[in-house]
Amino acid sequence: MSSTCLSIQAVSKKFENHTALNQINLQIESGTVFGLLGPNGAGKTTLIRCITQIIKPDSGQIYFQGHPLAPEDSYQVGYMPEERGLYKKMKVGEQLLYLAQLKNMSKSLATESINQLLERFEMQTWLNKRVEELSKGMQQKVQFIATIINKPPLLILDEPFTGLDPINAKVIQDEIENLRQQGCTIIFSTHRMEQVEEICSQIALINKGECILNGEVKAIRKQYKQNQFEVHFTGQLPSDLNSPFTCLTAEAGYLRIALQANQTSSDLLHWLLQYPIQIDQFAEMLPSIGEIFIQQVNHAQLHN
Amino acid sequence: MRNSITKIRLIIRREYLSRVRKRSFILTTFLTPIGMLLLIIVPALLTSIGQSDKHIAVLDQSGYFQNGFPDKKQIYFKIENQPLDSLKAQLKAGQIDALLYIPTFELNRPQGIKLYSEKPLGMLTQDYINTQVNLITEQARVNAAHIDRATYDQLKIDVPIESIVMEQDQERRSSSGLAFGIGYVSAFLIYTLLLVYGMMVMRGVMEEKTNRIIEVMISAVKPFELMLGKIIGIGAVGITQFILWGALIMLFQFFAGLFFVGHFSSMPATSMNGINMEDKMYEMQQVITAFQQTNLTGIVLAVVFYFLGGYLLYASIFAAIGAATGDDGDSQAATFPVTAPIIISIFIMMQAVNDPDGKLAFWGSMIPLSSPIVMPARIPFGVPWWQLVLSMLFLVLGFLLFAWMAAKVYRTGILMYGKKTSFKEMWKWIRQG
Repeated sequence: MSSTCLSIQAVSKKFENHTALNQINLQIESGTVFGLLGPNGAGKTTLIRCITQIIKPDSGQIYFQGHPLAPEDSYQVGYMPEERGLYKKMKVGEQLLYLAQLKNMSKSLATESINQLLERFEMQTWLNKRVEELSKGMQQKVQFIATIINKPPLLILDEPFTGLDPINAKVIQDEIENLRQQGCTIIFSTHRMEQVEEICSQIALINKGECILNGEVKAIRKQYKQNQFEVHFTGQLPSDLNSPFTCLTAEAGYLRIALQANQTSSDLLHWLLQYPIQIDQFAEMLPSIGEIFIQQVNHAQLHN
Repeated sequence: MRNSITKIRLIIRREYLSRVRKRSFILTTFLTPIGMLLLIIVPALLTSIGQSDKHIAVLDQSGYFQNGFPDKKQIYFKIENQPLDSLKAQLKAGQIDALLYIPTFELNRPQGIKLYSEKPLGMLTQDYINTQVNLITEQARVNAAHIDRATYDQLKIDVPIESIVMEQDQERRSSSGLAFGIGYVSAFLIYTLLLVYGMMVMRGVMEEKTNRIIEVMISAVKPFELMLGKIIGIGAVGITQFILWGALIMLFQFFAGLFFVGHFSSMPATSMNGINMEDKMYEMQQVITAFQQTNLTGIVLAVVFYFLGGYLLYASIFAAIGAATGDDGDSQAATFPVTAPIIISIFIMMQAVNDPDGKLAFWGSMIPLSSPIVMPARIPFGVPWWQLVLSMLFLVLGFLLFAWMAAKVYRTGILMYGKKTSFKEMWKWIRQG
């Protein structure tokens, strides 16, 4: 399945005295987890609000499953905002039913879906509790259920894991993967870079209303590689190591080496093999998305 | 369109049920009338319970009071012939509670009567003594004039004057006192309801905003649907409370009726303070006919219409203010421009009941911001139909205009955080939206 779920074309949005979005272009394939990254105030929320049709872009077009985004599509998009909100005095069951019905579900279908999901998240006993009686993490799970209750083909999750303990975070993460396997497309907005690498297959980095990086996670890391390799080994290297390579770190059993433009990894391996050592691990060091993020944002700042 | 209505219905249902099911709603609905009742009954009860037996010595030097005073429950009189000083000593010693000293006086100028007591006697006792002294003095005067009592009672009269309003070809009895009362009460009722339920709408909107649930809601429903649903839902809560109060009052009247019927039938129907009971009955009859001839159904319908119109208009503004501000601190200041016209309307209304056809009353009942309060106060006095139609039309148009503007402020405001919104800014949202 590789049809395009969401296509954002040249979308711009200006507020009074600043440009929140400037000519954003993004393609999000169906059945992928797409990471939407960016520092605070970069325009992520504005972009999300354009997709959920809370606000209208000044120019540009958004296509959803091949057609221009229309008001009826709003039920096809499940949105969980970063700032969680539930009616505190309402019971969990009532609240979920209310939100599901507002998303055009029939009462019977919604009730069935609520029971299923509460069971899956082991929350049946919470059905008749008021929201204000729940812990923050519990409220967040309720909110997550409210978002996926009508199985929308596109999910937008804004920092879905903050405030969750590792066990509950795993439950949600598994559910996200489960939904993705069922063909759901997920836009995942976060600052937590390690999660991005773990969960997302594609990312876009937005800074000051512009998309400064966009593509597959693996490809991006490759693109920003600095030709560095690390070697874990057993044995002894001569202390007066006269290498043709730039050695960044040399410790007992560990080397970190930067290759020049005319050198390849095979050259490095060949050179290592002439010594009486046993290579335990040989790997290219790819920058983490976090490092790329910081580098790119700083870079953009320097240019301005 | 059908979809939109389904959603608004869902929202109305939630807003309504979540409030009506609240313990505080049930409490205020049932406790307010009970509280009001207690406010009337308790002081009366307290005075009657709190009273101890009062023994009053009467020293009559005039001779008019030798037949004595009729005793009443807890008030006992005794005619004494001892000197004033020894009676005063008894009073000091606590043997009697009060001493009524009546010196000789001329019937034309009854002066010098004194009531001595150690402690204040209380209103009821004093009133009773005063009434009795008056009655007996009056009787003495009647005797002195050589008229018999029956003739005197016949001479005494309170002339009733009917006021009649010429209305086209019909003559309609009117009681401007009654019109004044009905108008005043309806206007104040609407005033209170506008403020109470308007504020409720505002708090509801603010709750959604500070809770951030608004972001979830807005991705599923249009802001206007949410605003409208909330306003109608809360309006329905108001109407429910209204109906319940009405039912409670009727219930109370029914039981009170059962209770008082016994009381009244045991009362002597002949004479009360010398005024003929028939006259009283005639007066009552007049008020009742005035009541019957006042178009009560019309007044109730008008009050309901102006309440609904005024509520919808003001609730829209309150919703917009709630959306544009957010936390309580800001909104306190921001509500002032909304509560101000409501309060000004009350002042216009007070003028209008005194001069129901004056310029102020006329304009006050035309302008949609004040007409929900001023017009209901004028209606019992009779308002030309063209004014009524015009005023209602303006109110509907005013509601549409304010709802349209409020929707724009609401739409922008609910998604704005951390920034204080000025009225200038709201105006900009209205123009740009």
